[in-house]
Order: sequence, then C-alpha cells, then structure tokens
Amino acid sequence: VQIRELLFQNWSVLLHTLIVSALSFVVLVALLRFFGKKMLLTTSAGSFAMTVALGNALATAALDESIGLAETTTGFATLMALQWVLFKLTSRSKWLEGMTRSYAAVVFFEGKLLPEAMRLQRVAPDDIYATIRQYGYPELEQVGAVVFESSGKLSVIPHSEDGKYPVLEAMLKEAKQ
Amino acid sequence: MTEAVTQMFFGGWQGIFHAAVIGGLAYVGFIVLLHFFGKAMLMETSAASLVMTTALGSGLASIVLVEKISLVEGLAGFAMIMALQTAFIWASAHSAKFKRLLREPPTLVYFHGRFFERIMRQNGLTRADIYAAMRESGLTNENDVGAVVFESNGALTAIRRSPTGVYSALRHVQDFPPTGLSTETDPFSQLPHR
Repeated sequence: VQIRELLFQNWSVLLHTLIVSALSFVVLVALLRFFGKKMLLTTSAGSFAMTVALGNALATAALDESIGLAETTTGFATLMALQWVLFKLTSRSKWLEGMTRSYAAVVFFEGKLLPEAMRLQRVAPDDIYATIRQYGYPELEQVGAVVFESSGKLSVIPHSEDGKYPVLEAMLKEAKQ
Repeated sequence: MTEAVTQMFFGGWQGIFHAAVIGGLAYVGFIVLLHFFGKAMLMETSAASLVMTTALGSGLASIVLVEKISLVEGLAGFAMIMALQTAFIWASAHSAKFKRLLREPPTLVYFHGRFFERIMRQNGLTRADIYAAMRESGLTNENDVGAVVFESNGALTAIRRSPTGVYSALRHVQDFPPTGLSTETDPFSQLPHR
C-alpha cells in the first residue's frame, strides 16, 4: 500500500497539480506583465534570489495540495509589490540605495588583482579568473578590469588601448582615495 | 468533491494572511540580512556558492507559501545559510586544504583541437557538451577556440584562441599546460604573473 502511495496518491492531488500549476502560471505571467520586467532585473542585491523565489513558489503551489491558488497569487503579488516599493524608494533616497545596492567595486585592473578591494568584498582570485574565462579571454592582458557588481555578479571589461575606461571612472576615483 | 475544488482555489484566510504579512516581513528581513552579510552571498562561481544562492531563493518562496514555517524560523534559516557561506569564504581564503574541499579545481577538457577523453569520461562529459559550450560562446569555428574548461561551478567555458599563444587566464586550471603541447612556445614562460 505504501509503495502504491509513493507512486500514485489519488486523483484529487493529480488534479490539483494540473489545474493549480496551470492557473498559477497564468497568474504569474499576468503579474509580471503588470509589474513589469524590472521584477526580473538581476542587477541589484536580492533580485536574483527574487527570481528564484518566484519560480520556486510556482513549484510549491503545483505540488502542495494544501496551498490554493489564492495563497499563491497573494504570495506572488506580495513579493512583487515589495520589490516595486523598494525600487521606488531606492530611486528617491540615496541612503536606501546604499542599503540595498552595495556599491560596485573594481577588483582587478590592467592585469593586477586588487587585494584590498578583494578582501573587503570577499572575492577570491579563483572567482576572478573563472569569470575572465567565462568571458572567453585566454590572456589576462586582454582584460581591462573586473568589477564586482552590486548584484554579486562579476563583470569583465576588455582592455582599452588608450587607457581610458569611461564606465569605470567613478569607481576608480573612489579606489584611489 | 466540492470541498476539494474549493481547496484548489482558496485554502483559508490564514494562508492569505501568511503570504501577505509573513511573506512581506520575510522579504524585508531577507534584504536586511543580505545587506549585513554582503553581496558575496550571491556569487555563483563555485558549486557551493551556486547551491547556497539557489537555496536562499527557494527558502524565500517556502516562507511565503508554507504556513507551518514561521517568520523567525525562516529568517533563522536565511541567517544560517549566509553565516555558513561567510564561514566557507573565510575558511577557503585562509586554508588551501579547505579550499580544495569546497571548490573542486577547474579542469582542462579541450585544448587546441585536442579532447581530453580520460578527464571527460571521469566527469561524464561528451564531445556534444563541449561543442555546446563553444556555440554558447559564439565560437562556431573550432579554430577560434583555444580551450574549454570545466569550471568549479559545473559550467563549461570556451576560451578564444590566443593569437600570442599566451593563456594566462588558465594558470589555475588543472592539467594546464597539457603535456606534449602542440604550440611551439611554453605558455608559462611568457607569464608575467607567475
């Protein structure tokens, strides 16, 4: 009997999975359209986790019979509404912006690791080299800089022939001080 | 039957309250904890950090929807995952042994037209996987590819062929340089970073 239960519980659970997952998916897409694609923006802290949370909530709703569509919808809406409020507030308050997006920092510049910045940001050399490879660079000399973004992602900027890095100017000024 | 159908759409006000209030507070708590522990929590460059980041997102979903998880339990879970992550980062920065334990070093699976079949077999990789990695990097011609590396986080990365023959970005990769290298120059002899 137990083995049977593991393989197949009953029709109501199956029905729940089919109907609730389909409807939850429709609700999720509708809410995403309503709140906008910035909900899935992964450039600020927490937003990657947010994307994972939305996907996971969908899975939980589909499989847990005790969770109804109303709860799932409320859950999606709560997460997105808070994210939306956070976006609104951070665009108005410098203090909150600093709270939610720790500033981006240069951790590798023109062939050299920057140990001080790496220690502060807790980035290991392996993280930096792995990201440079991910961008397809064979040679460290071809890399201008590696930036640890506020989203926790590392981005790689190619070496500039004239030694100018307009996208980095503000950060480099900060690093020198 | 009607009860089962109702359940499908509405499981009681308690669940709604939980999703709206506890879910909301959990989100705020999550952002505060993330600020406290730092954005390094969201890094994905090793298998351990990738799993941790995913676990955080999954945890957030569970607090919102699963009624039996309280706010304090959920936040304690976040704090625990982030504290562990911080401890791992600290330990691997201070002990090479610990680092090896947590971060399987990257390995070379392809270099200048040669597939390293033994290592590929050990890791369950096929040539199709390696070609997929090349395509993903937009390298359609095999001659444009210098190397393919199986990274610590389980990703395959294709590296462009170096016009100078220098592969300094590969210096932490296991089995590099490969024995019997076909290029005339020893890649390591030109390294300024040795």
